[in-house]
Amino acid sequence: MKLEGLTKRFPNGHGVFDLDLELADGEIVGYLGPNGAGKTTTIRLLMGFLRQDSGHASIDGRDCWLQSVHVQELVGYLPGEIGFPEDMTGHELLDLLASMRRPLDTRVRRLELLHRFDLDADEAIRKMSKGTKQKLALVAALMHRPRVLILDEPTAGLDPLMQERFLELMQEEKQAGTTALMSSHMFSEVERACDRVAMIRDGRVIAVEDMARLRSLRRQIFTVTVGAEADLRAIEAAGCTIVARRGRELDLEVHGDYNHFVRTLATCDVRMLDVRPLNLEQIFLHLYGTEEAHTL
Amino acid sequence: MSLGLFRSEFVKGLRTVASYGMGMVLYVWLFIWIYPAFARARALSALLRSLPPGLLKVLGYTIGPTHLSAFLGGEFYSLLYLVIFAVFAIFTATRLVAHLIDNGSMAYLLATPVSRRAVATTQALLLLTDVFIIGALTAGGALLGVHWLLGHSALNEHTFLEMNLVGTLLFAVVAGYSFLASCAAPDERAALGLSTALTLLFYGLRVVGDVSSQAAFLAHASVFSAFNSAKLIQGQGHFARDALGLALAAVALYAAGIAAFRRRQLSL
Repeated sequence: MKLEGLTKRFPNGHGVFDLDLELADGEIVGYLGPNGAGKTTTIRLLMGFLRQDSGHASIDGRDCWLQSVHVQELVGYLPGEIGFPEDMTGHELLDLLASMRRPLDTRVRRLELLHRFDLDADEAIRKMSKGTKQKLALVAALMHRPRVLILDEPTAGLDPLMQERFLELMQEEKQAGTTALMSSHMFSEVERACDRVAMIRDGRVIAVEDMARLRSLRRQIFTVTVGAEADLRAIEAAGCTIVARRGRELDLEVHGDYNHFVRTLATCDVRMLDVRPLNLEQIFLHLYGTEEAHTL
Repeated sequence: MSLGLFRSEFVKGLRTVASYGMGMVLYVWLFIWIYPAFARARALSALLRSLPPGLLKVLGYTIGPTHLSAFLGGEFYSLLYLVIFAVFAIFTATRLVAHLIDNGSMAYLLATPVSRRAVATTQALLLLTDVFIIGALTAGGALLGVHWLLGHSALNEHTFLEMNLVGTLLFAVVAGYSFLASCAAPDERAALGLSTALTLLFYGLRVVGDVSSQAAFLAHASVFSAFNSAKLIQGQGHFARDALGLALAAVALYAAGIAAFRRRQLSL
């Protein structure tokens, strides 16, 4: 998959501009960015739904707009917004899509995926919950064993068990040599599934990083609420980096010596203590400057 | 085209086609059933003859409602048939393309290795098939109704079928420009609005053109003028010219719709 100087400008000034990104065969890349950054526009250009103003997008050497039929033979696509025909059952939809991929036989893989996602496809789509529709969309995207996957927020609406099953599936796809571009907001998901991560903001790719480097930068943020001003000063003196302060509530990072931090806390009147990992956007923020971080 | 898509969409739309078809048949039966009482109502006939000739022309009473053919051609086929068929054509054309784009399900169809041209061609053929089914059901139902309710053939079947063919082709054209709107308009509401406005405009032009001799030229700008049911049913119209003209217009409109869909930017 190759994007070279890919540009699409909408009348409102939004769009994607001069995108360069290349995915090697068998590589899985996470595609991140805030809402409206251009992730979905990139994906629509790759799917041949939109025509670029300039530049070039290709998959397996085929132009995504001019040779979209050949491209779609290779691709499994999961749209960000699930919009199924409501007046069908899950099986009827899968039958329709399978018939449009003939002579490819999708039956065995379809059954396997339905079983894996514990999906009853006999149900009418209009009666399905958001999570069930997402599972159906995943089966539709994967049942023809595509060599390339384009997934827009694949785990949105899935419960933790199904998210886990999806990640297992992505591990298998990676081993099978599938190339994939997936947008996501969840570090754990991208960490397990992806080899690299590309960050897009205001229509431009601002960074592409290896997963290993991002993993090394993953840090914990502690949120502490204390009872007195003196406690705040004690914690500040314990060698932590204060990320944010809201009255007597602090967000802080601990560098190195956790024991010293815990001993300091033991002397304070701690009303609340919470810990959370930095999300991917925050890590990128940390890497690429605070100005961008605040707008993410 | 894609056979799988055609089959799926045909089955999905079958209930609607059957409902409209049965509606047409029941209405035409109603007209055939009330015709004997209507023909006997001389007082009413006299009253109608006292109306201005222009108005009678609009209503289709060019030769007076003394024959079943004049009654059906002037009554059922000049208003109710047009309304029911137009509603069906506009809504079906919108449902087959613009609705699928608006609700996002077109994404799944276009993510398969079936080209945009093939998807649009399939939807166009499906629309035409549905229009011809309704046309055939109406014609067949009317002929059956005449034999069943009147017990004899009070119609010239040949000219009656010619009229029905031209009527069906008229709605292939109405469905054709609705299909073009469905493929080219920015969203479903715009497509529906455009098709409806155009149909009302064409119908209005014909009515105004028929009522006023000074404005007769307006009727020529309306596609509805190609379907003069009152004359066609009597064998007095220009069957071959009208049928050919409508068929060519329909082919051009569907081709334009397919071309527009191929070039369209899709937010799916």
